Amino acid sequence: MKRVEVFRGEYYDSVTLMLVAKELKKIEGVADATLNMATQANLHIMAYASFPVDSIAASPDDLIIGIDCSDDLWPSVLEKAKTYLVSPPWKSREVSTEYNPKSLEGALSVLPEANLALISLPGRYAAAQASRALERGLNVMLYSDNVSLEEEIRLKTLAKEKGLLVMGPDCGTAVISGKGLGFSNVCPIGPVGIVSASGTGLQEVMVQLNRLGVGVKHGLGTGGRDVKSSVGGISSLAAIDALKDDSEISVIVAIGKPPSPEVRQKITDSLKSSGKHAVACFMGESARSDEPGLRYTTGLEECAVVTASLVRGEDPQLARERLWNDYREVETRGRREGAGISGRFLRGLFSGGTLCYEAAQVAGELLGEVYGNAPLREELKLPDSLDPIENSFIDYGEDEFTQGRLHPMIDPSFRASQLKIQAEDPSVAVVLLDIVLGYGSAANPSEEIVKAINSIDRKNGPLFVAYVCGTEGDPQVYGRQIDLLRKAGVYLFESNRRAAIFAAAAVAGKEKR
Amino acid sequence: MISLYPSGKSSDWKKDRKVFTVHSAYSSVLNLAGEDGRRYSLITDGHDFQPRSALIEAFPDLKASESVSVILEDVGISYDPTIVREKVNPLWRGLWLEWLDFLEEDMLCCLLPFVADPGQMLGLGPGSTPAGDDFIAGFATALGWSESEASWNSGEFTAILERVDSCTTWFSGEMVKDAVDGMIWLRGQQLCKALAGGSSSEALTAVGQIYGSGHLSGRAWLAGFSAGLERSLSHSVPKRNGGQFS
Repeated sequence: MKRVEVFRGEYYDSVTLMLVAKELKKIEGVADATLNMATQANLHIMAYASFPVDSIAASPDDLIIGIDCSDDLWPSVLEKAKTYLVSPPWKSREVSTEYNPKSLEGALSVLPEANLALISLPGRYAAAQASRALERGLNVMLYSDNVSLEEEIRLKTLAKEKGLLVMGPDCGTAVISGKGLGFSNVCPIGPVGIVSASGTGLQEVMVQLNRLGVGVKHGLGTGGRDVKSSVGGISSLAAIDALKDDSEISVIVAIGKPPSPEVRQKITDSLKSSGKHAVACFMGESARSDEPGLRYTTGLEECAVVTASLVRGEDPQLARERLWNDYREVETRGRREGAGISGRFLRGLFSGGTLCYEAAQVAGELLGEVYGNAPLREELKLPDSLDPIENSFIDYGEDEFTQGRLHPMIDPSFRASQLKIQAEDPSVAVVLLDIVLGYGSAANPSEEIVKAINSIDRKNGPLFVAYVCGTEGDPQVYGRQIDLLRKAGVYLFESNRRAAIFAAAAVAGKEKR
Repeated sequence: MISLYPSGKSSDWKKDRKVFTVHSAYSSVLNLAGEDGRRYSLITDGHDFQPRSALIEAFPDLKASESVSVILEDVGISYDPTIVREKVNPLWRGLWLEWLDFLEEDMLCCLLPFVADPGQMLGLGPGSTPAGDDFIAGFATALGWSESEASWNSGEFTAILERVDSCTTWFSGEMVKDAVDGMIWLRGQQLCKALAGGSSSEALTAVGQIYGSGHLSGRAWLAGFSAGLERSLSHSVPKRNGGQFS
């Protein structure tokens, strides 16, 4: 029986909540356990999982614990949850380990030469700490989201005055001198510098460059709003300037969704005047002709291929044409493989926002309208992200799924549970997934996905198509993840775009028959 | 009666042969009550040296109230717990100031109202060594160590010593008395040495060894040490500013 209990004003970080839930699920007789901050989004998800939350009066500052077990077991499991929250069983007694400073001033005491602060706090506290860091002369990587637009503009203006850079808010990935911050893959250092308004976009381009044998020295995130007219591209332009001044960088790359027109103009002007090769990848824009000093690309893999050819002194156009040929072959194969499958629709279930965006774009080109929780056009927004319709793409990293709970790249369990639901829907022909590896991501993300696939109860089930964004050097090891998925019968591709082309073509091929 | 033969001792353990009563036994520490009413300890880990302690390879399973004889003839001095005044390196101020924020934690916030008058913390807080006593011990240690004798208010500490036996547990009172008497545990001594120097790794290791000790003790001691350092440097109580001490 599913029951819930609310604890007023009790705040725990989402990692703790995830780990306690995992511990509770290990108890014999516990079919399910979930611990969440009681945001509307989380209550909605719990309701969808049949936890009785309809009559619950709770605020986002309250903790809600849901457990599926017998009535007899309920009191002891709930007690166990409370005990685990206070004394986490995975925390060993650490007597002799080094102390980690808890404040900016404490950290600067022990690291006075530091020039960057990474801030990861609930959004309402993050801006104040970012201000303090800037005042202390530190560049800022603002991992936190839910920082207001006004605060973002204030912080970036302050940074500009001080000759500093604010990466973010909502900047999940950056690379400084080859060292990854936040979600990042293990890639070599090389002559490429990237400015990116997109986290998984930066990861994908770096991973693709790694496969092409090209390294990246700096990958500077800006936060997605930076390229909107309200912010004016302050961080993007500052980051490009920083890369221009770096003599070890020969190619500058800018990645993101299309900027507002005036910001776009400033960015392209700056890239063209950099005195270095430059590549722009504004996803979603129509293809356009290259200009002197600036190559335009519209896909992440294309961006990497063109960049690599510039690093090597090769012709980017030839590299592009080889890529288009590959894509055509993938599409043909997709149409062929889709012939025998049941169902009619494509469901993209993503953990990476930009990967989802790129894949939805590809699907849109082949299938027409594609719905989603972060759709390409507002009118295609799903009324309920837990109840997708027709061809739909869900980004489980969107705020509605991450308020008070872990991002799906860290904890794949929720997406895995949704995968099972979607795959058992007889109308679904193809399920498309991304698996993002690297620092910050789950230790073995494919394991949960494969478990979900193996548990699916459906004859003539859907095709599973996936792209693993990662490298052999990543903690999860690319080859190991690929093996797991391949054994589960998943179709695997070397880039996000290729996986999306195959998946959409498989569905498109069916539609024509 | 069982006789125990340590291999090293602290310099303040004077008599070579003595009978003690077992007060409490843990896996690596055996606390004993001496005939003089003071706490003595046998330790199996050299990192746990403190005033009146001796290092022993192992000790048998002993129960509270049992009598034991500790033989220290020809045993060398392994540790001197006397606090030696030094000048704290102000580089670390940002680090020690944040220790006051430990008092924001649920189990320690009962101490917050008394930061300006630590004597009021005697016996305050949960546990057999109340966190208030740890705070006082850290506070007294900082004032006794840092090179600013003017900040030592003997009246304040005389008042604490007068009340210590009636206001807190015997074991905890012993810790307070030692700190006020200018005696220090090894982890505290290592912290003082690190804060007088300039090595980040030494400082972080020394703080880490105290931070992780006990359920709350380490953090309460560090908070007290921080308040003591602030007193010794500025003669003023740290002020709270927007939720943080500064």
